[in-house]
Amino acid sequence: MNNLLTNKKNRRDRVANLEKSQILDPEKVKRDQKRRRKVVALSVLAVITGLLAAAFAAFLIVGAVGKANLHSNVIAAPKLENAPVVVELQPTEEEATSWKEGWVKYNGQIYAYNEDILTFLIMGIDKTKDVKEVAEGTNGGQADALFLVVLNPHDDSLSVIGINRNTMTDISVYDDNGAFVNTIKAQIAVQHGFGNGVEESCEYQVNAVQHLFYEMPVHGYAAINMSAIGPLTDMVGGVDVVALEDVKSVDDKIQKLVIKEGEQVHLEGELAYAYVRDRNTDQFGSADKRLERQKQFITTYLQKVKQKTKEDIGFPISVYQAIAPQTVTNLTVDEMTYLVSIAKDYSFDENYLYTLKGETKQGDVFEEFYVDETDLFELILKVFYEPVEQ
Amino acid sequence: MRCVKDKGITKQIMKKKWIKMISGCLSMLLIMGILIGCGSSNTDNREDTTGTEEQTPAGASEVEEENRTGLQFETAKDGRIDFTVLQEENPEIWGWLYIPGTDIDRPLLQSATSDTYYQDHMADGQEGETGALYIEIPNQTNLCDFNTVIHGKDQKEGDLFYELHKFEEPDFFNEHEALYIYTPDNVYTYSIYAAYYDEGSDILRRYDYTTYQGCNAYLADYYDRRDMAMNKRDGWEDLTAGHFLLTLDGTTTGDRQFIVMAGLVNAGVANMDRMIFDGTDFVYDFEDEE
Repeated sequence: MNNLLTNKKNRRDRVANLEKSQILDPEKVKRDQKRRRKVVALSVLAVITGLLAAAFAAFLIVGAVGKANLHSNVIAAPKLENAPVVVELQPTEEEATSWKEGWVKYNGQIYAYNEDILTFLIMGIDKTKDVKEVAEGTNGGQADALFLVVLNPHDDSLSVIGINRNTMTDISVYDDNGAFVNTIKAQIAVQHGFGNGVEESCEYQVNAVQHLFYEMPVHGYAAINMSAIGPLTDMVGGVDVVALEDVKSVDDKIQKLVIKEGEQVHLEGELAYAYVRDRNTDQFGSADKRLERQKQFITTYLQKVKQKTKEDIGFPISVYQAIAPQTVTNLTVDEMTYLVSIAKDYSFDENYLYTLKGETKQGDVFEEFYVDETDLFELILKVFYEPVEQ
Repeated sequence: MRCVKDKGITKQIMKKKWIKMISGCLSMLLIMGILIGCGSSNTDNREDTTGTEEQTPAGASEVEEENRTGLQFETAKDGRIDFTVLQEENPEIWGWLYIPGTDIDRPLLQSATSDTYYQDHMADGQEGETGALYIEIPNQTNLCDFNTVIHGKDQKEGDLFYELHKFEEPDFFNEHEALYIYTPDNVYTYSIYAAYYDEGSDILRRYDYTTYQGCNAYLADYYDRRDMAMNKRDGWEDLTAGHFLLTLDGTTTGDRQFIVMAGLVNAGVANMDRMIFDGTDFVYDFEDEE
């Protein structure tokens, strides 16, 4: 109550003082009024600037959120995805070291995982029609083609690692109810067969590849039915290669030789499908040879996609939309757009295309590929890690 | 009619108000600072609170080097542990863990009634956030289990297993292999063979270590690990259900925990033995459809 009275009193005093100043010192009053107007103008300007700044910040934030989504979109949370914890050791007698968690020491050199890398698994599924969910069991279709695509923003490069479909690794077995049963050693391509043939199967397959690659994070996947190879190739206007070996048409009944080894051939439609898909299962090591053809095809194909994307930035998205009925992916169109925007200028050629080294042996029924662990370890350091300056 | 205030006096009054406000803020900050300082000094180490009743400050300085015993002074560096004195302070002390190269030179405890008591009680039984190194009730103090799990906190400096993280560094790991456990009648020698971040689940209950199947499942999962940053020692690729393993287990944060694995290499004078049971073996009949 006292406050109220004091406020009224103060106001009366101010008015009285103003009237008094008006009479005694009109110039001062004018100066005061000018100053007050200036203050008002400045504060209005400040408010407008503040609003503009907020709008710009919001724009930046939306862009950053899209990028963050991709980085957080990791299928199985691996230890390496966590931010490294700096573990400060107490100085030993020799030296005061500061080893960071997740570092790897190999041949005297320390390596750190490149946190900004984005990795995607591209699977070619041995199915010919549109994608369809299936009953739990072993009907998901095998992942006959497996390629890890790695985007590295530190050196603006795109790397592709081809994985032999017969690579022996830990496969998780699920029963007809979708329940986990146990882990067996089998060809990596069979993992996709478990699950519902769509997202579940893809996730199982991604887990198997992640496990093979020492739990490297995978930020997204796309499983494309092999029958989409034809349309995919046609969209870039065909792919020209020198055939690495004889290729038969994929129709088992016909078994016709359609491409001769050494022949310069323009691959389109059914021919492209045959070149990428055909495998002589009677011939030992046929999977390795097919992988070589697929590598060659992918290199040329990606270069054509790059060219087309330069002319039309929306090209990769239109490709995706064309084959969408034959694709299962967990990437959204926004994420794909972001990836295209950064990857279109990345360098890519045969030097960035790797395959795992190892040895193919004849199993009881099927071929078994045993990867060279040292070579795989070194490849992971090369593609996913960076040397740490000491 | 009101008197018009002299501008000069008004200024003085305003200044006094400002001075009052500023000095008020400063004194509040000072008080807060003192309180915070007092609070942080409450994280005592046991040096300040433990010790036998008979020891007086004057008496402590007269104790000779050979007779430095009890929780306050005991160390394994002289190759001897006086369990009589230790167990007078806390009868639940059953062993002593010593890892050369680290500050881990500490008693091992086991509560008779709780698997978590020593997470917030220290080796002398007093409450304390640091806790103690301990095993749970299912593990035996004769170290004859397939997997004896020793728990300790490892998150910040001062934690009892904090220096386990030294084993993350490959050079340190390669150079420091030995681990010793003292018990009232024996010294056990272990070799540290792995150091890595494990998933966060309860290690002691993840497998049935009393059966062949359980031990083999544990070993299969261990050998299946593919981890770029894991440290492993050569020569430990053939563990079986008949081995005696030690898991040094840090705190679980999120979905992982840092562990160091060791295997028994010398049982001293102890006779190591246990029953291994043949549990039921569930085999899935997987038909190849390729």
